[in-house]
Amino acid sequence: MNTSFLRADEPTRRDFVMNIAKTCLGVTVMHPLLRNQANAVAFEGSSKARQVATARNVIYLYMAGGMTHLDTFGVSPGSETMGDTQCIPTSADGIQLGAGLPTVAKHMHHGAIINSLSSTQGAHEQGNYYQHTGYTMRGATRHPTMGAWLQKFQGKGNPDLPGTVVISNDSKHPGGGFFEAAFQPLVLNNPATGLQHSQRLASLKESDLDYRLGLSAKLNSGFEQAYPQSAVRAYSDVYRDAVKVMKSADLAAFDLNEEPDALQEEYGSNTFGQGCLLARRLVEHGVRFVEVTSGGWDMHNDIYARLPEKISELDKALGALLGDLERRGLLQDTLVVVSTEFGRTPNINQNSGRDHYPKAYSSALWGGGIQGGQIYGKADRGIEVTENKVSPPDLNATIAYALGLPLDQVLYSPTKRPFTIADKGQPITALFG
Amino acid sequence: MKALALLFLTATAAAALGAALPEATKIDSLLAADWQKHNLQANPPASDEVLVRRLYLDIAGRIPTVEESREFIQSGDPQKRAKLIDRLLASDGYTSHMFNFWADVLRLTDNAKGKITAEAYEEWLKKELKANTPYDQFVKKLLTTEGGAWDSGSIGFYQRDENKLDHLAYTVQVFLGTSIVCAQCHNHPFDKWSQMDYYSMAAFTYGMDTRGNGVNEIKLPKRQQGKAVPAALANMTPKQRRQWMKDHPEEAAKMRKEAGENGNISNQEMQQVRKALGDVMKPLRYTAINWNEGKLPKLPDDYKYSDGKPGETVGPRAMFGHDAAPKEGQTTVQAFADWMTSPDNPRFTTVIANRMWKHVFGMGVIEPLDEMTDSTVASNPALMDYLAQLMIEKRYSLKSFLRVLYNTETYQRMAGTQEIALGEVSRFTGPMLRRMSAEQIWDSMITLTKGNVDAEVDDDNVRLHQYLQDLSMFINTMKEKGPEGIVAAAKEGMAQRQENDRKLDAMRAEIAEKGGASTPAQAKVLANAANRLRREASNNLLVSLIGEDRAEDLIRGYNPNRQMQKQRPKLDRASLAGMTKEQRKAMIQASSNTTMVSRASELPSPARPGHFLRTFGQSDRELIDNANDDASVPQALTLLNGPLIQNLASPASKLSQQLDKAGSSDQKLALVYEALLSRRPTNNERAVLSQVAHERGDKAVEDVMHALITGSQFLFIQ
Repeated sequence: MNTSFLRADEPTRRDFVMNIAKTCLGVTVMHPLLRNQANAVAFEGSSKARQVATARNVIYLYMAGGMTHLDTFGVSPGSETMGDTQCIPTSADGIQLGAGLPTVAKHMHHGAIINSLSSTQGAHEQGNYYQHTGYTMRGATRHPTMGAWLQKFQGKGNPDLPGTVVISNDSKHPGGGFFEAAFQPLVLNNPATGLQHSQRLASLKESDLDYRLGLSAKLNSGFEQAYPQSAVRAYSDVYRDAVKVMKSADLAAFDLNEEPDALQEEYGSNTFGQGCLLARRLVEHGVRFVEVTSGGWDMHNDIYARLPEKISELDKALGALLGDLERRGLLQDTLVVVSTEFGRTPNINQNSGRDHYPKAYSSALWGGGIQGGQIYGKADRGIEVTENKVSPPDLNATIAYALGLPLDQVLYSPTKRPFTIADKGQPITALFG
Repeated sequence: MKALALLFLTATAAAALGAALPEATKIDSLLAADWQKHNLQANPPASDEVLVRRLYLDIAGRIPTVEESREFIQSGDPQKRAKLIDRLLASDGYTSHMFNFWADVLRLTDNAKGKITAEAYEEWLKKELKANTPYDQFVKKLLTTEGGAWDSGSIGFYQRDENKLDHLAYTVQVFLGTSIVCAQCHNHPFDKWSQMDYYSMAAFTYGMDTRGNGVNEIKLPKRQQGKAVPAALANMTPKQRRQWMKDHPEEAAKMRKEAGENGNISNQEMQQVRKALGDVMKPLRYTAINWNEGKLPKLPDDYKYSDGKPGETVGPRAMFGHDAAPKEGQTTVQAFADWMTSPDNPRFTTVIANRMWKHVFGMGVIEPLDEMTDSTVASNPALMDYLAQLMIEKRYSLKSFLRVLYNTETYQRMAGTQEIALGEVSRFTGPMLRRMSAEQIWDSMITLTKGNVDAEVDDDNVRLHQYLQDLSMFINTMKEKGPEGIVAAAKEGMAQRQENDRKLDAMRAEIAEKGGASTPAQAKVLANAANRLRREASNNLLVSLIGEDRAEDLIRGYNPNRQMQKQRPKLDRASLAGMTKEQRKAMIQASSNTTMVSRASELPSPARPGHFLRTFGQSDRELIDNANDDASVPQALTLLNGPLIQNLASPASKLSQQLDKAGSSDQKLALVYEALLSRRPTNNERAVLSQVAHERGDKAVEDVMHALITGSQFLFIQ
């Protein structure tokens, strides 16, 4: 969905529907109805909690497929559910991690682990959607993800760059949901390729391209005069903006070649590692919400043969990112989140793997106002949450809370249905200092 | 403006020719009466040049080739417009274009569980469109479909949505133009629908089980029958029983042991067999649906209205119109399909007539077309009534219906020059100016580089059917084999798995010995080994279950695009590292999403985010009718800097080859106009073009080509 950022002010189908609603239903009809029914009933439980933002940016690292909690952040030292995984101490007193995360372990004094996540969705697509939006998947509505809510309430960090960038091969990302096109994230499949088509063709000189742009305007003028419509005018506007983008200094935000080789190496020579490096560059240039996906965590078979590859990618990239952000003074206003759709079964199955386990799983957060060195919630041997249960809406509400977003403000979808951030999730205020 | 006036003059003469269809005349007169009432003038008639481009785009989904537009424009046949309409309606271009249209309405996606079913559904849709199956029968086929993907691809209709309640809301919105989705959770706030109405409607299709897969169809041995349940457990609910087992671990273990010894196959073994079969049976997942008569939805736990209780079962009841009770020998869903598609259904016919009108003229007589309520009034009620009547007269043949619309004098007028403000209605003094859909743009680019490739539309995918047959055979063989045979084979498979586990453990031990933590490279080798061993194990099991030949067919799988993927250069870091920055960029761009091979309808559906089609607004197929035609900066960047212009100018492109044969530079530039805009340049334009030729010499042709491609004129259908 990278069709969208910097879009001309065009009425979309959604606006159109909204407008029809206004003309056909009339504001006077709509409001009392909403007040009496949907509105009052649906939002009784929304959290009123709000704080001055402790985070300006979010780097959201998504472990697609269901990251095993027991082998990573939700360890249970000495328990039979640990499989082959050993625990290691970290820079924070009393916090241990799976042995595959030695680099991340050095940063746990800045981080908090949530060990009491519990979801109702045990299938990938549904779980992924729930984790990303705080809403369960329902027909005919696409709910926005956090980057879109952030842009909606607080605007973009850099007007010349997209509000949200998603570095992922997941083509089902809910993105901006029902919000207008301008709130859709820019999706990059490959962090190395940068922003598509933002550079002049190698075979063209700048003067050639300028000539063609001038000629195009000249040859198109008759058509534009004959059809003085906004949809036609919008194209003149986007060409003007496109040229602006091509000349913008912010394009460098997408160029990993500007990073020293050693640092590229430190993040790891794989899509996820380079994606994390790109995330840091984008945040520096004013993109406020960046998501990087790491796929392949769905380990139903031979988990201890598969895990080393994934976990070392995560360890290198996340460790490098946290160190890099800290060195640059960015960690204090950048919230880094590790998230996934569910955990994996405490039992090792017949195929030496772990299956889907939404009942108890883990997530971890660093920076952006998080009080480091704490574990929130408990899950007995990774099996059952015994203290401070956290739902995906709660986790979303926590991220929104860090960003200072209003959790109880109602916005309407084009189908005239009311929604709030995180579907009445309650922020975990205890995570903040 | 002078240029346009000239075009109008030639057009008037053309429009006077030819005898109109009586139905088309009727529509024209209904419109004329409306114009008179609102004091409006008809738009001027469209010229042959404008019309040939519009007809090709509207019906075949692409611009005409130079030969096609010349043939039409130069023809003196008074019937040439009607003849072209008929020819295009009969072409494969129509199938391709309408596929894109319906794929958006029906949310066809192969980015879903059950890719093979999704592909079969796509192919099925093309076949139905090509055969011009009457719309009412088409809908009936969708609603009453059942069985495996090898029986009919139409099962993709139900397989599309896991949640049957959601699926019903989509069904009602698409076919009845009515939005009831709000009523899934509470009474509709703006319309009359109650939550009970919703559940009563959902009850019609609720019995369609889409979770069915091969594994369920194959009978595996059940636990030993007649096993004595200990007295302590006899009267407990399953939940209580589980709790009891938990509280009394020793007794429970003893009971399990006894149960294992009693049967031939212990529970644990059975579980292992299922696991082992899981991999093997994977290709069968999401390939079949089954109807369960009498399976009904229950009201949700938070049901809060007085007409029902939480958890209560709800039976089917039609939301409007006549009753939908099953006739003798009919299932509930068959009765539902009859009710839905009956000409007496108050909305079914109106919705499709309006949808087709919007497809042709750019706006519905009723807007929005999928949120009808009792108080909805058409902008021209007499026209809407007649269109519904016409749809019934044409027995729901969409081609016949469209043929009438394209033959109206009104369609063959110039597009309205003035914008219709949001929320206002069109009086249809001509069609609306529309931006091409993403697919029309893509297919037009293909036409420029490759010419007419309509015939490549694949409505009969031989490889797909082979594979589906393989799947069907697989199920049947497994059924014949019977429980004992399957278990025996699966046990063998388990042995191999255990052997594999030992191999992997050995590898891990070796890595650990060499210094503890593994390097990324070692980790990768280990993960790959795990993948390979697992694949081998499941392949071996498959061979022992169904024999080598059939197993091989299945293992090869369905992958028609494998060839195409290989053509793309592989981007590995090592070779990238050796390049300059510019080389690297060029290389990446060349392999990017703009490789032009076939029409949009033949590509993955929908295209991946970032693909040319998605950049230009192709629907993600998550919501009904979700394509958009908004301008965006990435579109401008794609046309300015993407490899497209290089493709057009490359010696391999059809346009380049034609340009080579053209004589003077003036002739070449005129040919560019004909290829892109289906007309020759006006006098004013010619003056600009000769100046370009003078200033730019050899570069002139590519300059003009690029200038026209990046002008909005190219992207709009006048």
